[in-house]
Amino acid sequence: MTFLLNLVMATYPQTWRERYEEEFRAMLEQCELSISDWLDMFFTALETRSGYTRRELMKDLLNRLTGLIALVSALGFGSVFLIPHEDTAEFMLTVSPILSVLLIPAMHRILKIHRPKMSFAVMMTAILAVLLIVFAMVANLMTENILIVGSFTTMSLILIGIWLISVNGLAISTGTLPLPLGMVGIFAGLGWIVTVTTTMVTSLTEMSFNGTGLFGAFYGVMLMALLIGYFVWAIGTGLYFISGKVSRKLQLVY
Amino acid sequence: MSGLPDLGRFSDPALLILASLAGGEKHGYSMMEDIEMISGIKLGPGTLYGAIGRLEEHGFIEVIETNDRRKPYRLTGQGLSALEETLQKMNRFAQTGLQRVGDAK
Repeated sequence: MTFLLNLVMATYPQTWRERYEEEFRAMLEQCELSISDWLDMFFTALETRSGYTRRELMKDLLNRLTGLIALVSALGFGSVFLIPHEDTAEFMLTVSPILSVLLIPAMHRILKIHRPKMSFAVMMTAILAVLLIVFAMVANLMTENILIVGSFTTMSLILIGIWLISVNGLAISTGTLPLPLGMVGIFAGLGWIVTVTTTMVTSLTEMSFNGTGLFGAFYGVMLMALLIGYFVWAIGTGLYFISGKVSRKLQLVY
Repeated sequence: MSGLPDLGRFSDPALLILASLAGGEKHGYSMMEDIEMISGIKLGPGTLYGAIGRLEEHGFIEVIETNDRRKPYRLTGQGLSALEETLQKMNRFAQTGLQRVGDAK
């Protein structure tokens, strides 16, 4: 308890400690502190230090947490190249972008960055994508018909690509993200759709595309846009959010 | 003077503290107990001292120097006026509200 109290006290600014710490500690000796009391002291310390309300601080914290998730997701995506097990690698390749693509617009929604109508359309795309993934999983359990399962999966993954494009379009239009980062995100989204669609079509119809020619070059560019573009976008967006620049832009704190 | 200034989320705790100190000087723990007794609201220790700091900064309360580690606080004249004005406003609101409730019955 002494260690925890010292930790909380250290969170308060020096001027506050010089003036109130002794009497505050004397008062606490008489109290039976609950978890909510500890949280209350911690958040008040942050409020006193920053001069902002705990609501603003929570928004900033959530904002930075989103950045952290985007960063972890990017690292998960990059780790694919180190994973020898094919199914695990494929899982990481699909899950990592979904994670950050789902969370960042959700965060924007909470922070009310975008205009409500546009944001609503983006949210609906996300909900539809998630529903289709659930349907695909259920269909996978219920039937062995690969066409049904594959169709649901393809549709949901395409929606995630559309989402990645629209989120970055919105971020550009509202100036939330720097323009180059938004452009990279849009190309990553296009790459995602083309790559996913081509992979699904070939596996469902057993067609094989010739890797050469115009389509081969286009596919190669799109694949690179997905692999490099998404990685750069997620790292950049993650760092941008974590650094608190989005909060500063929104005048949440600082 | 027009009641309490905007103290953000500390406005309500500040009013409770002033009302408590109107009953006599108290240190932090006594204030917490008194506030819980008169209002049923249990202030967290962080919130209590957050509000105390702001009230002292505005000159509404002042510390009484003692040798005890626990420092008692008392209302200043400015604090008493601000409390009176705020309570009168609340009273007018309550009177009007109650009158309307009575009329509606």
